[in-house]
Amino acid sequence: MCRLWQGAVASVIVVVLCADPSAQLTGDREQRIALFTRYLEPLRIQAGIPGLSAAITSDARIIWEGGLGFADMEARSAAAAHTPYPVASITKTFTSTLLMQCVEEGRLNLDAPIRTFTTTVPDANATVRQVLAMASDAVAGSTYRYDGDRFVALTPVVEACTGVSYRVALARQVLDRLGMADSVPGHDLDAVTDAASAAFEQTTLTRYRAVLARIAKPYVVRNRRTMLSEYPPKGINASAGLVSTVRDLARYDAAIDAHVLMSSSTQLIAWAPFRLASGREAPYALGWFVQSTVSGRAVWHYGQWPTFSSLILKLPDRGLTLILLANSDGLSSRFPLAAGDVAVSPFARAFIQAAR
Amino acid sequence: MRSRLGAVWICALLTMVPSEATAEWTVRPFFGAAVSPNHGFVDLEQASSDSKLAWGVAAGWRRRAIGVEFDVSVVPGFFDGVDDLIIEGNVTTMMGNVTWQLPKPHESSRLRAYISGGAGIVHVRLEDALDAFSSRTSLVAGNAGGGLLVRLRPRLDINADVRYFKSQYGDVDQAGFSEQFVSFTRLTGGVVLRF
Repeated sequence: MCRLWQGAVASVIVVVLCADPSAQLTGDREQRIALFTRYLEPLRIQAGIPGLSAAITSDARIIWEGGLGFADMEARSAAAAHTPYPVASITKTFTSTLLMQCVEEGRLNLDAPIRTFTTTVPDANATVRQVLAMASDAVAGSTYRYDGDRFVALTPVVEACTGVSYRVALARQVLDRLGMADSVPGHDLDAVTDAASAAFEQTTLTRYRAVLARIAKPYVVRNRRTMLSEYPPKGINASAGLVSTVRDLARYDAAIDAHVLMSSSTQLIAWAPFRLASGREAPYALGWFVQSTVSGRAVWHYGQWPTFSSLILKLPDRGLTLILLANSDGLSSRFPLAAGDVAVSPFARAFIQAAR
Repeated sequence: MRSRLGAVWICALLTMVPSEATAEWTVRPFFGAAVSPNHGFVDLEQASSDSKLAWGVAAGWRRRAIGVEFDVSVVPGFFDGVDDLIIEGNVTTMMGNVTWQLPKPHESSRLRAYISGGAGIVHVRLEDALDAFSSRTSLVAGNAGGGLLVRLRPRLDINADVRYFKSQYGDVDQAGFSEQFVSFTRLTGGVVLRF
């Protein structure tokens, strides 16, 4: 019954993704988005990215996808829309989804003390909401500070709410539900372990390993020299660890817009900027960055490892989303994205201009 | 049109007049290339290392071996490659230079070498198709180089000039890849009209 229901949801996503092209972008903006796709290659090269995969969706339908450069430079294997990458901190948006589902089902109070679930957050008064909003530093609720390590404290919150491990919750509640068949809840599932066998069916583990066998190679680029490097930590938690493709993330994007994962009212709460104790709005909401741009609201997140980087940029007022995954830190490390302005990324800046 | 023709005639006649050895005004139109360009702006057409056409004019005053010169040059396609992502990408240099003519190899030689250097402004005008990285920036810059003068007539020389331009670093470019700067070597040939 559950599988039938999941299949139906996945079908809805497929239908949304394959909707009538004539109903999508038209005219000047379409030309500008097409122009933007030609910016990607020179920006990729200048950013020092060996392989870049990209997808652009309009009203939940992929209008452009592709790969530039190499997923594996040694094997001369081209990057593509189906190339898997560690998405790094884009995982946080999935954590937000899981927690907001718990809230919607009445199984979690966002204003509950985080100490109920973990002792890793120093401020005893910090709430789940404040940790989710990156506002639990110093005196909880008083300041915004992007802290990926602090966000890990939300892992036991998800586990307490769902009753299963974070990775299983992610797989069941989002990945399987949306038919994200090229996504894996943790790079460490490439190893055969008892814990993995206990958590997932063998066919699922076989699929995960097949995806991970295609994962992009990790690179460090310094002074225009590209060097093969190490994969980031392979485990998964509330902060990072998901492996996915731009095509699968487009499904996720479509599901968000279709309110498959949570109701529109819950989504509004998740995307409302966190109000600090001073009354000022933080640039972060609940697991997402939010800001105003010349193309309306931007809801976004970036990811950064030393050898991988990522960006998902939604422009809800334009119905447009840009998804980028890279096998170096080139999408993120040079740009102070943690401060909350996505326009410091040249990729985002050009996309926002194209969407005007 | 008539006024242009008149100006050309006046210049031609002036070159016939014998020169005075002590002090003179000079006008030096030139044309050539900017080679080995480098910059800290967004490189949308991946053309940062391609040579580009350059042209300009220098006007100056010289007394014996020492002179001063105001040099204006334009590199119209500094950021252009083969794509059409750059609508306009010009670099204009405006330099005040001091020149020093080296002694002639021998008295009857028609050849003179000089060295030159100075400072001024490099103005960058960059406009891209999406207007995402468009910029109008002026950067303090310096240049140094030298050249050869070959006397053809009492008031007319031909000239070969090579000089290196390098601006100071400015703000971080809008693309965020680097601080803004421009550098290139300008190789030009031209004539020197002396008055």
